[in-house]
Amino acid sequence: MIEGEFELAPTGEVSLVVPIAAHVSIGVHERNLWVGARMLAAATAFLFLPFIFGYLYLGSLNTSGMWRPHHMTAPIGWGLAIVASLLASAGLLAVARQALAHQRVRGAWQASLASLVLGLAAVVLQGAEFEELPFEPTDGGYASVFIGWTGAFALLVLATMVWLEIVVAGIVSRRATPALINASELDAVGFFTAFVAGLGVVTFTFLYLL
Amino acid sequence: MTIAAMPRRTSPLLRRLVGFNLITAVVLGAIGYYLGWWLGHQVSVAATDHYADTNQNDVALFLAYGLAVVGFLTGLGFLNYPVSRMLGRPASVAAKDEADGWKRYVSLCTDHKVVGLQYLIGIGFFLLVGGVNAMLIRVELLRPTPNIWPAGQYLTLVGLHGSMMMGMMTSGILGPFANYVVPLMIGARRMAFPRIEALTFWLLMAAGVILTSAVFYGGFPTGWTGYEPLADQANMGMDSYIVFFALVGLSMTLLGFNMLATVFSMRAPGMGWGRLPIFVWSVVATSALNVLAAPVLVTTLTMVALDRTLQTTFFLSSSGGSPFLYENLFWVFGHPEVYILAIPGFGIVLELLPVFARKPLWGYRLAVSGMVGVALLSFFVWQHHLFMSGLNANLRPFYMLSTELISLPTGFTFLCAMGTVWRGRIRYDVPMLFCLGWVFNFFIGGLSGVFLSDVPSDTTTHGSFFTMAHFHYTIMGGLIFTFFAAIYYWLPKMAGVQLNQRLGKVHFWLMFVSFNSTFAPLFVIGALGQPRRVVSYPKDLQFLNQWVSVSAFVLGISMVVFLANFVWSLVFARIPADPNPWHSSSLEWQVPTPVPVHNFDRIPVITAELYPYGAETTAPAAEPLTVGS
Repeated sequence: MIEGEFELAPTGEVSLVVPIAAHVSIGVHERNLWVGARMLAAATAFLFLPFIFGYLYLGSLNTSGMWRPHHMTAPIGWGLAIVASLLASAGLLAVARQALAHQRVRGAWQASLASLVLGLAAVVLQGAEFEELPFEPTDGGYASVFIGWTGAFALLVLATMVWLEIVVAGIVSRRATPALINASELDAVGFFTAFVAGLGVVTFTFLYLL
Repeated sequence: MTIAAMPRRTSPLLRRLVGFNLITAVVLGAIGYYLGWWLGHQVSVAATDHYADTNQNDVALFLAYGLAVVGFLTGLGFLNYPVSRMLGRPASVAAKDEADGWKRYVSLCTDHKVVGLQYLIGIGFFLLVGGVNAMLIRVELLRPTPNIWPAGQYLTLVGLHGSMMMGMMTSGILGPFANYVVPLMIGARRMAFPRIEALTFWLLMAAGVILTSAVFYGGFPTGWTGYEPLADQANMGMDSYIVFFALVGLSMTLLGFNMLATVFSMRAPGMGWGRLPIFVWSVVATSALNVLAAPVLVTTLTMVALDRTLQTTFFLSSSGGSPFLYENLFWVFGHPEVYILAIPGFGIVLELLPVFARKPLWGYRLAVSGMVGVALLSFFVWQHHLFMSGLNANLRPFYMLSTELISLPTGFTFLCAMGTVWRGRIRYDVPMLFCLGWVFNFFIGGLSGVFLSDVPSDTTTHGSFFTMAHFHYTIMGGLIFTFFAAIYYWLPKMAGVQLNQRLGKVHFWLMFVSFNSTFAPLFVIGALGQPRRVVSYPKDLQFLNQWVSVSAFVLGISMVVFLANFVWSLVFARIPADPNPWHSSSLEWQVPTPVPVHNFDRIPVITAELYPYGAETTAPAAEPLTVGS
C-alpha cells in the first residue's frame, strides 16, 4: 500500500509526491499545524479560566473565613523550581528551532531532547510537591483551587511533552520525515511549549505570590 | 502505477474479527470498565471515608468510566498513530479513508464524508432516545399528582432528556452536515485533522452510552444544569452526568478546533473570506464558541468530580467554596452553548433560502456580522441566568442590557432571511418549508426571550414553564427544524437517494402544527405559575397540560413519519437522486455522487461571487485547476 501523498494526474496515473498525508501538500500541513497550535493555545487558556475565576471569586467571598485559613500557602521553592524548569524547557526548544532552521539537525535534537527532559522534570517536581504540601484538599478554598489548578497543569505539561517526544522521535529517527515537516512540527510544539511556560508563570503568580 | 494495478490485501478472518473495530472497542471498553471499578476499590484516597459512610464509591465509578473510554478508543485504533509516531515512524495516513463497504461506518475512518454519516446516524439515535424521554415526561404530566414515576425518577427522566438533547445536539449540525459539506464547500480534499474529526464522533457516542447508564446508578436529581450543592449530595448517577458532559465538552472543543483549522488553512484558491458560503461562516462562528466555551465546561465538571472524590471544597460554602461559583462557570459555558445550538441553524436557513427563492442572499456582510456579533456577545450575558440567585443588584442592568443587545445581531439574520425571500420565486420544497418554519418559531422564541432578559418580568417567569417554552422555541424550533431542513436538502448528496417529498411534507406540517400546539400553551401554563421539574401541579392546570401532552404525542408521531420515510427511502425504495436536485450553485453539488474519496480530482478555483441565483444561468462560480499548478 502506498503511504503518503499521491495525486491523480489527468492521465489517470498515480504519482507519489511526499510521504506526509494523502492529498495534502507540505504547505497545507504546515499551515494546519500553525493554525492548530494557536487554537490549541486559545482553548487551553479557556480550560484554565475557571481556576483563575475560582481563585478570584472564592478569594473575594472568603466564606466563613475559609478561603485561606491560617494564611496557608504552598512552598514557594517547589513553585520556583517547576516554573524555572518550564521556562528553560521552552527556551531550549527555541534554540532547537533555530538549529533546525540552520540545518543543524544534531544540535536540534540535542536541544529538544534536553527540553523534553526538563519538561518531564517539571511534572515530577509537581508530583513531589503534592507529597510535601502543608495542607489537604479539604482545607478550604485556596487548597481546592491549588490542587485542582496544579494537578490540571501537570497533566497539560505531560501531554505537551508527549507531543514533543513525537517530534523529537521524528527528528532522531532514520526514517524521519523531510526537514521541512520536522521544522513545522517543531515550530508548532515550540510555540505551544512557550505558551505553557507562560501559563506556568501565571500559575506561579496566582498560587505562590498573590 | 495506477490505483487499479495496486494489489488488494485481504486480512485473515481472525484479524478482521480481532482487529481494530467496534467489536474490539466494546470488548476493551468493558474490560476497562471492570478494571477501573476494581482499581477504584483498591485506591486509598480521602473519599474512602465517604464511601464507608454511604456505600457509594465515586472514585471507582469515575475510574471505571475513564478506563472504559480509553479501552473503547484503543479498540477502535485511536492509539495506533500516536504510538507509532512516538516510536519515530513517519507521519502518514494509513488506508483508513481508502476502505470501502459498511465496515468503515463502524470503525475509525478518516474520511470526512463517512464521519458525517456516522454523526447523522449516531446523533439521530440519541435524539430518538431523548425524544422518548420527553414522551414519558408528558405521560406523567397527564395527571396533576404523581402518576407513573415517583418524584425522584421523574427528575432523572427530566435530567436525562435535557442532558441528552443539550449535550448531543450541540454537534447536531456541525457533526453530520458541517463535517460532510464544509470541505466540499470550500474546495478542500479533507479535514485539517482527520483523526481528531473521527475522535470527536466516537467520544460523543461513548458519552451518550455513559449518560444512559445513569439509570443503573440511581439517576441524578439536578436536571441538565447539574447545579450545586445538589450535585455534590447526589448519588452515583451524578457521576454519569459529569463524565457525559465532560466528554461532550471535549468532543465539542476538538470539533470546533478541526473545523476552524480546516476553514482557515484549506480553502481553495479564490475562496476568500468574502466568498465563503454563509453556512461555512456560521460554522466558523460556532466553532470559535466551541473552542472557547466548551473547555470551561470541562474544567468546571472536573472541579465537581474533585469535590465528589478528593473531597476538595470548590462548591461547598461551609468549607470556603461557593455553589454560585458553579452556577457562574456553568453559564459562562451554558449561554454560548445556546448559540452553539442556534447559529448553525441561522447558517442553514441563510444557505438554503437563496436556493429556494432563486435570489442571491440579501445582505451577505450583514448576515456574517450578525452571526459573529451573536457569537461575541454570547460571552457577556451569562449572569442573566442568575438574576434570581441573589446576584448583586448593581450588576443586573449591565446583564439585562447586554442580553437585550444580542437581539440586534440576531435581528440581522432575520432581516437577511426576509430580504432574500422578498419577491423571490419561491419553491415550497420540503427543505424550504422547514426553513420557513424556523422563521416563525425562532421569531416567537426570540420575542419571548426578551421577557426573560428583562429583570422585572424574569422575576415572575424564571424557573417556570414559560422559560421552558422559550428555550424549546429557540432550540427545537430553531435547531431541530433546521436539522431536518438539512437532512432533506443534503441527503441526496450524502446518500445518493432522495427522501420521499410527499411524506416529507406530511412530516413538516404534522411537526410544525404539533410543535406549536405543544409549546405555545406552555407560555400560558408558565405564566399561571407551574414550575419546571416538578412532578405535580395545581388541578386547574390539568386541561392545558393534557392538551400539551396530546400535542406532544402527535409531535412524536411526526417523528415516526420521518423515520418511516428515512428507512423506506434509504433501504427499500432507493430511488437515485438527481446530481443537483435543488439546482444549487454551491460547490458541494458540483462534485459527482457518490463523492470521490478525495472529493476533487482537481482543486477548483473560485472565480466569482456565490449565490448567482436569478441570473440567466446558475453556473457554479468555480473553475477546475490542475493540482499543484
